[in-house]
Amino acid sequence: MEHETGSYISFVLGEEYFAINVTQVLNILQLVQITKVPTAPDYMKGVINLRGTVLPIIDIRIKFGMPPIEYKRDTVILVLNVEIDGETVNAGILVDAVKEVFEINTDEILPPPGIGSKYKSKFIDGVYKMNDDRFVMLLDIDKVFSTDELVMMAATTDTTEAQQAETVE
Amino acid sequence: MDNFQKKFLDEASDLVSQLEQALLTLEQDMGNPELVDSIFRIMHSLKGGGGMFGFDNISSYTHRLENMYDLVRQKKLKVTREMLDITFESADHITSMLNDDGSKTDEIKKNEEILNKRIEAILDGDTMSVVVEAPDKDGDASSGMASYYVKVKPYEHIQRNGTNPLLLIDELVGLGKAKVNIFYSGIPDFEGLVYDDTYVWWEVILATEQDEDAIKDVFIFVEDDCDIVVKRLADGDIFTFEGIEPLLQCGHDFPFDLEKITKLAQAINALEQAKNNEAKKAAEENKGDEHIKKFAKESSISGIRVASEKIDSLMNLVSELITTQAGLNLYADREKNAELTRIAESLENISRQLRDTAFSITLIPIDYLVTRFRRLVRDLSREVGKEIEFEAKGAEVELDKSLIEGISEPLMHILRNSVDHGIESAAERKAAGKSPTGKITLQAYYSGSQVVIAVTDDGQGMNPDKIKRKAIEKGLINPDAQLSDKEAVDLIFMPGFSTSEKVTNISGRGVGMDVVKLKVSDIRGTLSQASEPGEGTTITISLPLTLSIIDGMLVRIADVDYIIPLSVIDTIFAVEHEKIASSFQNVINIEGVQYPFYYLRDEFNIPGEPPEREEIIMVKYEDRKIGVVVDNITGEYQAVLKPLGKLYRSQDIFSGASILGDGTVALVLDTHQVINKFTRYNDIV
Repeated sequence: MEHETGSYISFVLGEEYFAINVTQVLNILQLVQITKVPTAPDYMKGVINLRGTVLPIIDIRIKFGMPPIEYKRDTVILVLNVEIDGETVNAGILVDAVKEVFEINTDEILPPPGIGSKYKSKFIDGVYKMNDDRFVMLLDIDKVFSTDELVMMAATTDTTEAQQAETVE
Repeated sequence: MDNFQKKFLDEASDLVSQLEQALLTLEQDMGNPELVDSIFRIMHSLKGGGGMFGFDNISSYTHRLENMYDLVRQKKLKVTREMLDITFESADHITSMLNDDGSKTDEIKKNEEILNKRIEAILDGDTMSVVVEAPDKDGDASSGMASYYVKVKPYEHIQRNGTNPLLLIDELVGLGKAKVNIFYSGIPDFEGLVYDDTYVWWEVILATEQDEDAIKDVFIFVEDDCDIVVKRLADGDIFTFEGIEPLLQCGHDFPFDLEKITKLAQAINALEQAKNNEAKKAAEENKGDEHIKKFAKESSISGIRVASEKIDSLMNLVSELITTQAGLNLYADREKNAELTRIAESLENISRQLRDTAFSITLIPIDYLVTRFRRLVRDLSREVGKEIEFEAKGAEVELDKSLIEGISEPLMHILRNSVDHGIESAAERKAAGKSPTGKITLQAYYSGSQVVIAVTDDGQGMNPDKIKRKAIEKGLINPDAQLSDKEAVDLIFMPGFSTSEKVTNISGRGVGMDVVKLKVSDIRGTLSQASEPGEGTTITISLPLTLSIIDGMLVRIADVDYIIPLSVIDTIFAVEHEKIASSFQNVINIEGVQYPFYYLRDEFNIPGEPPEREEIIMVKYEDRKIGVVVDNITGEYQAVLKPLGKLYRSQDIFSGASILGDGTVALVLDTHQVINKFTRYNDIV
């Protein structure tokens, strides 16, 4: 697993620590009012205004199979640069709190946890042991946003819609 | 390739399109020396530029053409059809040379050899050419000005309909020069006065360049609420007539002496007529045709070339300004500071003007496409051996440049269809008692906030029975479906439908009207048809004026704002929630009419209690009106449309989002898609 030696930013989702390479983080925003887009899947929380452009917001806790986010004082939006189908797109993710920026040593990255792990490990590039013995999961954020992922999620919502339609009739 | 070369390529393709336009005009008016001159000049510029920037092939080729037109200029050669054909093909040839990246060099060379031979044949004079003489045309264009007498006598109740008759008079006077006479005598005593009754009436003498219809149009909505008399008094501007002044001087309540005015006007008109005839004789020697004048005028007006990215970024900045402006207005409203409000208002005034100006820069007249279409129809009709005349009306109508790009291909397909399927062969037309020359008309006009482009042919029309049979054959509809003729013909828009019995080179290559419809709806346009067997077909495209800024209605459902484009809204009613909740099958009865409706709270799965009174907005859907129910209406809003982005592409019921004054985001509803999406399947069939 190749990694450029560089800085990572760590954040909290539930009880766990995650980290993303800082080159993919554009901005950290205070929580603002999110406009919900009806008919979109649950994890797509809606859109906000980021200096005049419309930014989609994702609740990655739902994507990771955790309960949906609760808005607290520390809840922030990480504005990311992600690549979808070879196209760079800006998107925001909701996280419970941002922790710190730290340097990483590539040699010390451990392989991702295997079967039996609590979270969908396909989004995880590796695990890093911090100085305080805490483990941080390094996210491959592009994978989280990959089309297959989205198509899969969209397909699930479509079936629920179809079921609802049936019940109506 | 260096910068200069790039610039030359830009210029050269401009020159080629100028060349095409000049050729098309020349075809109408063979041998017109001005046009020959301008073609010669274009060749000359191409030759010079090509030589200077290292496009030697272009330079040497155009040199031969230039020679040919030089001989025409010296009256040693006459313009022939063959010559025009060669030049048309040369235009294509030059374009392919300009675009050649080296891969097609051989093909181009071969083509060039053939063309060169044909040019030489003409230069040697051994061509069997038919010399077409320039047809004599009467330049019978009168000066345009005319004078009218208009009497406006409103009925007493006119103001109760919300009409202010004074505004009508203002509009009338705005058409030209006018003298207004007012009659007060009908005003009753104070006791008998009803505050919203109208007692006065007017007489207007108007000199205008507009025609009588334009004058009548002023009163188009109040025809039933007043007496209108429009009478043509004279040609020309009556106010300049000698001796008319005393006749036009009249006090209130004393009508114009129409008889005297008319007599004088007629006398003066007769005098002018005599003068005009003399002038016309002189003009005939000059042989000026409208066409050339127009062409000469167009080629003399020149603008500057601006890269389209610059225009895009200008538009982006203007959009941001408008959004910021909305924020300032909101803040000023809240602060209640007179000075701040004043500044905000004057700034709004400026940004509005800036928006309009910037906006007008992005607009391109449809004329831009027309030359290409003229050429297309000309070439295609030759290919299939039909005689077809192409006419474009309203080519000055302007559209956003991205719309022009988006509409070009669908229109091309529609025209191809008309040439290929619509217009019959000359023999068939004769048998049907029609003129052997078919006619295709492209007409563009503004209709509210929409631009309508209609393509009409006088061909055989579409046969509903044949279409129905085909649809049944293809399994698109049920064999015993009951369809009206219009519904049957509408089947051509269904995916997978193509009536052409044999696949031809021109249309019927698998791309049917369904694809055209899809392309048109990509740019938020709608497509419709009207066809009469034996009479012809009209395909109509309606487009929004712009893609980037729309006038919308801001509405709210729960805590989210939505925008519905004003262009689709027909009417709005307030209704009790009770009435909606108790409705059967989502149909509601309003003022005696049954409307189907969509309850957006349910469709969007929005939890919570709805308000007691809700608003039902009737939106236009094809030729019906369908309601959508929202919580309440905030007001009109000028929305700068922003894309929702890739992640939300499956949410196609929203055409985008817009940022409101307080910085929150509102979603722009595409009601057409909303209705399509939420329509339970059996509703349509």
